[in-house]
Amino acid sequence: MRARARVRNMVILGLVLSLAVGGLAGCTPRAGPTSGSPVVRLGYLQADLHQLPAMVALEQGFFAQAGVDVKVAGVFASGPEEMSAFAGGSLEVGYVGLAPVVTAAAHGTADVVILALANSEGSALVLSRGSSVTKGGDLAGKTIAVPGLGNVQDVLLRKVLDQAGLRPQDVTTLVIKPPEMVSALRNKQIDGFVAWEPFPTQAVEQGVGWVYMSSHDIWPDHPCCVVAVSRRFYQEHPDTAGKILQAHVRAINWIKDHPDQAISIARKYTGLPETVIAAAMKNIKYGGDLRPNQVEEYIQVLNAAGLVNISNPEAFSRGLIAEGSSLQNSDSRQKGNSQS
Amino acid sequence: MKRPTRWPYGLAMLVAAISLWQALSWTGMVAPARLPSPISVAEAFWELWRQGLPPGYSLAGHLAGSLARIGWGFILAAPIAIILGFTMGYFPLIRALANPIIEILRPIPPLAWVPLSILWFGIGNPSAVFIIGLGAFFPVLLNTVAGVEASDPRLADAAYTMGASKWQVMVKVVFPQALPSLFTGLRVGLDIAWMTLVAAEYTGIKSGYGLGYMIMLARDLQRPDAIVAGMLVIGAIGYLMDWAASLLITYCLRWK
Repeated sequence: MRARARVRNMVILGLVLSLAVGGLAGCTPRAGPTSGSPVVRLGYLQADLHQLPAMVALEQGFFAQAGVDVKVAGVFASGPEEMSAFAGGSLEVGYVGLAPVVTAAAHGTADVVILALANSEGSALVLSRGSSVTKGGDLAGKTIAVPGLGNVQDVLLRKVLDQAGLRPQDVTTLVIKPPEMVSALRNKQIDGFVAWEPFPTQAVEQGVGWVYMSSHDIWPDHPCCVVAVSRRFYQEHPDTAGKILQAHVRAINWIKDHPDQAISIARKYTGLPETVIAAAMKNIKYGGDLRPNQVEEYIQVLNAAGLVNISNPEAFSRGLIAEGSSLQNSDSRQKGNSQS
Repeated sequence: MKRPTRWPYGLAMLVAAISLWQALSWTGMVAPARLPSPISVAEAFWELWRQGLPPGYSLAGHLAGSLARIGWGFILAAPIAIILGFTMGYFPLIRALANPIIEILRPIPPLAWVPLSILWFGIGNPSAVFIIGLGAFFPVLLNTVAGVEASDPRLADAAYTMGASKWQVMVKVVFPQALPSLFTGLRVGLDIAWMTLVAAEYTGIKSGYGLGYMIMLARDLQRPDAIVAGMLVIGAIGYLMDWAASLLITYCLRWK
């Protein structure tokens, strides 16, 4: 009797388990519509001034005017989370850092192409006030925080160290999230950090740190945030992707022509004080073209650090950037100008 | 009467579950981006062991860092919880005073403490130890209180009639009776402390070693295989610790 009950229990357990696994298997990405103009689900990062073009395009209705029905599907705390949303088939387009796009592609977690650059530069290496560092070599032995392993800021730090003739292990690199960085610097728990705006500006405004090197000093015109679209969507709806690009370029031109209004939109979306936004925006270059050799340069640093293993950085970079995106970018730039 | 040996069933079930998982991965029903296959997780484990993540920071180092942090959190939190629990169990007035505060603090998940913890203790080990200690604290406290409360008042009365002092009754009559419950609290506290590890190490770790920290880095690098490998290591070590704790408790309570 007991043995039979045991067998029955095992069978039930097996059933429950296979149902659970089956449920997991069932949630594979759905195929998107292949005709008509689909609803485009957009993601962007929380309080990230690099992604102001997304906020402007949404606020000014540029997507709708370009003929795209864009819905905000998620505002993410970090790039890797946004890439997970891409992988889960919950996004068609996203404003996100170049780094998570590259690592996602390298590790096969999400398949996206880069439509355009959202911004270049816009980060800085900030050191604590009263720091004795006057040249790169002085960084040896210091504790420097970066927002994530292998992200653009981590690469910037590696470049600074390399330029100063130091090895990565000559400094203590610590991963903490940017909102914690300014207070960690104030409490002398770190000697410096590399982060995107507005955190360098905040550290300066609060008198706890100074910009030792801006990202312009470290790597001029380095790509930072991009507009990524899922590869499948890009292949099935190239026209819609083109319209998204058009709205994006229009937003970038609008920011250049209406800096004050852009600041109030940024304030609405990020909640940051206008003084911080205005100061931070001076360090961010919106728009521009993304060249494969820039992506390649970035990949080479990651490869050297052993964080990714991409055997052909050149082909990988070309495959990541949507074909003809730079051409379309400059074309629609003129269009954007005439419209605004 | 000999208890039937059941562990082979559990082992068979584990093997079956992993095989099913691998089979689903092979057939493509579970996309590797959603859940990496057992084989790729095993490969990630091997890579973490040999090379580490980031390269040079091996899995053994991450494990040692986390165990040390758990040890500190537990060693600092458990005595406070035991003393407070004993006091609360023994003096009803203190229990009545402390109860509302404890009952409000107890359900707050350790992750919610992370921002405050960073403000109070800064980034790194002190914060992590605080978060881990919080996880361990409440189970130990509540089980100690319950153990003292459940002690038989007649035994205490009997001891008093035989001329025992209040202190002697506390140490020699109440404490031994509270021990089984206290040990259960310690065991659960250790489990919960280990479960808070990932949250604790999100506060940033200067040494660069910690299983939770490693999982955070793997997330930055979008390595689901390494994330799952790290999760399974946490699970397996937690299982081992719980097993060791139960053996130790059985040994300590063999007089019962």
